Amino acid sequence: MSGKGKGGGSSNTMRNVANALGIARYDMAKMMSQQTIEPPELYPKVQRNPVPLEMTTDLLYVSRLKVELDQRMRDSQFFIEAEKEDEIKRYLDKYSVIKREKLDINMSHMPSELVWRRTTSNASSRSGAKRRKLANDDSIIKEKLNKLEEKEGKNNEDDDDEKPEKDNDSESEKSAAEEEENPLSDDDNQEEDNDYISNYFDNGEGYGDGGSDDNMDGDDF
Amino acid sequence: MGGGKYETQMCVIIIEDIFGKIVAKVMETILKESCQLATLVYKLKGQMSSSLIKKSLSTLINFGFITFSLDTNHRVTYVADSDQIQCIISAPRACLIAKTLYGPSAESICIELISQGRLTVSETIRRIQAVDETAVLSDIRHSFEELVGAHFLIRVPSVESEAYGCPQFNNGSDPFEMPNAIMSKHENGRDASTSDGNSRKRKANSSPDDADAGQYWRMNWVRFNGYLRDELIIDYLIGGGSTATMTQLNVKKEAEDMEPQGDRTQYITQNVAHLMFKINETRGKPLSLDSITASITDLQRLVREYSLDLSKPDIELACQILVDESDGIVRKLGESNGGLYTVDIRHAIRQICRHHCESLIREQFEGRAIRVMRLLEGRHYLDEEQVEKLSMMSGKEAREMLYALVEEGYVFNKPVGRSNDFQPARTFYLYYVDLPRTIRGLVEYNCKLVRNLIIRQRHERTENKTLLDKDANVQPIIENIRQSELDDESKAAQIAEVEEMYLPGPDRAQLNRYRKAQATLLAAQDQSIRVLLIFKLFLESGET
Repeated sequence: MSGKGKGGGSSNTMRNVANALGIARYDMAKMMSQQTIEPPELYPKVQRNPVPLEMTTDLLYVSRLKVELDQRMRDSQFFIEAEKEDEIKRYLDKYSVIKREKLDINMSHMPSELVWRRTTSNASSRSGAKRRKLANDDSIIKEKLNKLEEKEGKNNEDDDDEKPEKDNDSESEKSAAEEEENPLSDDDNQEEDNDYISNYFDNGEGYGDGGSDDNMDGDDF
Repeated sequence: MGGGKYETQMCVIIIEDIFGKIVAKVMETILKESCQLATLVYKLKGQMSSSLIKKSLSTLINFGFITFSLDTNHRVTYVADSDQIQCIISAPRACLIAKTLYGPSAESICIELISQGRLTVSETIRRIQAVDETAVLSDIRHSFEELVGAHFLIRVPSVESEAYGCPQFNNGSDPFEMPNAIMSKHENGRDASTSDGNSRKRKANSSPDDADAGQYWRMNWVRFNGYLRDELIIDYLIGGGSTATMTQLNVKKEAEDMEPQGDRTQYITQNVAHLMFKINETRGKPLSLDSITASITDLQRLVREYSLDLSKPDIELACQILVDESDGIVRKLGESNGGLYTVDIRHAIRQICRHHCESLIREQFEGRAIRVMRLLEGRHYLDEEQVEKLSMMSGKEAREMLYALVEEGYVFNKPVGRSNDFQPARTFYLYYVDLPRTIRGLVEYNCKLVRNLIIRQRHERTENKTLLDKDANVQPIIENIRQSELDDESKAAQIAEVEEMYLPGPDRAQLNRYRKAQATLLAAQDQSIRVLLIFKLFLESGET
């Protein structure tokens, strides 16, 4: 760092450096005068032009298939778009919208927190009575018991943990209770989500304190 | 993980291209830092609703771009897997491999699996039959078995239990074991659709009716990458597609006098090289860097198995040629079993990387720069004067060349001071080549290249959107005319008329130009992802 400062500082050291590097004085002067601050060219000249890509049958096949695959992906259920709401409605909208299948993924392979309720609520509304009957099944009860057990375990373990966690748990317990009573609707869930976030993060400071305590402990060791 | 700035950007662009902006945003956030759902929701607060985030996450997990695990606090942490994302670019290559090895139905299996992320065997069969009604069940099933047998497809581990809201996977079972009940499930499926009692359940959730429900399969990209690597090494050893066409041209020219000679040697070496790799095809780890060993007797056995037209002297000749011409990649180990040969994978990867490096230098500078580069590689640390003398260039030239090489990151220098203050007059500047360091730079450069290619391609697509839409409208009309019962002449006249009306001359020229540009852009993507693969393998191999 100091070397840099020196070099830029006085012309004497600069000359020394230039001498040591074997750069003649006029070369140095020329270089200094050429210094301009410009972005480099977008397409700098190359000594030899790159060899053009030879389109073999393999490459043609690959590029054609890629176009098809990409288009398929873009038209598939996995291409997720936000629903446009407050835009001017146009006549052509009806025709420009691509009809996609509803996103349908086997959620048993995913963490349960990822289940977005919209689809489940749809499914339940479709076969309302049957769902209701199913809900009385013992599998659901078992699940609930498991959940409660889990929470109990969590509470015991994380007793000395940060408060937001606790808030959270009680919150989700409450929501679980709500769920028992009435089958979920979209609005409820959304509100819940929001509550969850604000609760969790408003107490961010407390979280940080906990972390620093840990650090102190570490120092003691 | 551990990718640079441009690698992250490339991954985001790839995702945006196929899943849209929302999923790309979620991907970007996780690529930057692995986090929990709550953190993710907080980071994206105000940009999208939490249900969209959840949907995006599920999609990304479904395709294997994001993995999850429980942390010590029993919360689920999501981690991005950028290598998986890059496989999207080499997806068509994978289809091509499947098609050349196992035929068209293997290709359609791959296409379905790529575009759906993961599927059960029966879902795959159903989807293929929905697209192509002529597809035969046993055919598809056979191809599926073949692909699994060669480890090109892998089973997604099944869910064993659930802990803290996170499914626990059963990693113990054999990932290449085909389910037995494919056929019975298919009958089950039919039963369910006919009998009324089950149908409502089916509507709510169609998969539980299959016998193999929940047994998902996905592409085994590691295996495909291993195959691609072997292909690249063979290309390097005997000259790939380009030289093949060249020999064909040569044969055409000299058809009369010495026709089969050049072709025959090429044929022999090509086949023997392929067979050498074939021997170790289904080894435990497809990307393992252990050398491949093959003996003449092994090769003879394979020749008989594939009924190729090769005799023992032919094989010996080919092995000799490979040993002589491959810069130490193929070596002879001993005389047992008629002659034992080995292919040094590490060395091969290194040579390919060097080759790419040199061709880049040749492009940016001139031939003499390669002379300097090779000199430094051979002698390791040299100062300016030594370079000047040994490369037989004038002082000024050598200096300028070295500075330019340092600037572009092909050569590095190391100051060695005679005194503590590193005064320039009393300091040596030693130049040296550090290939892994150069390659790390090139990996970033390559990622930037792929990203730019995708952006350019998307730009072209939006620019020509109206034309493409028009073309999409015209095609069915023309198809109708073709199928109508007119004689050929009037058909042609009508088609020309329709084309002229919808797509006048300049538009059509523009469309053709666009198609050509797009093909080139996509082919370039394919090529550069292959180079990227070999660069990454080199860095992983830890060669210096």
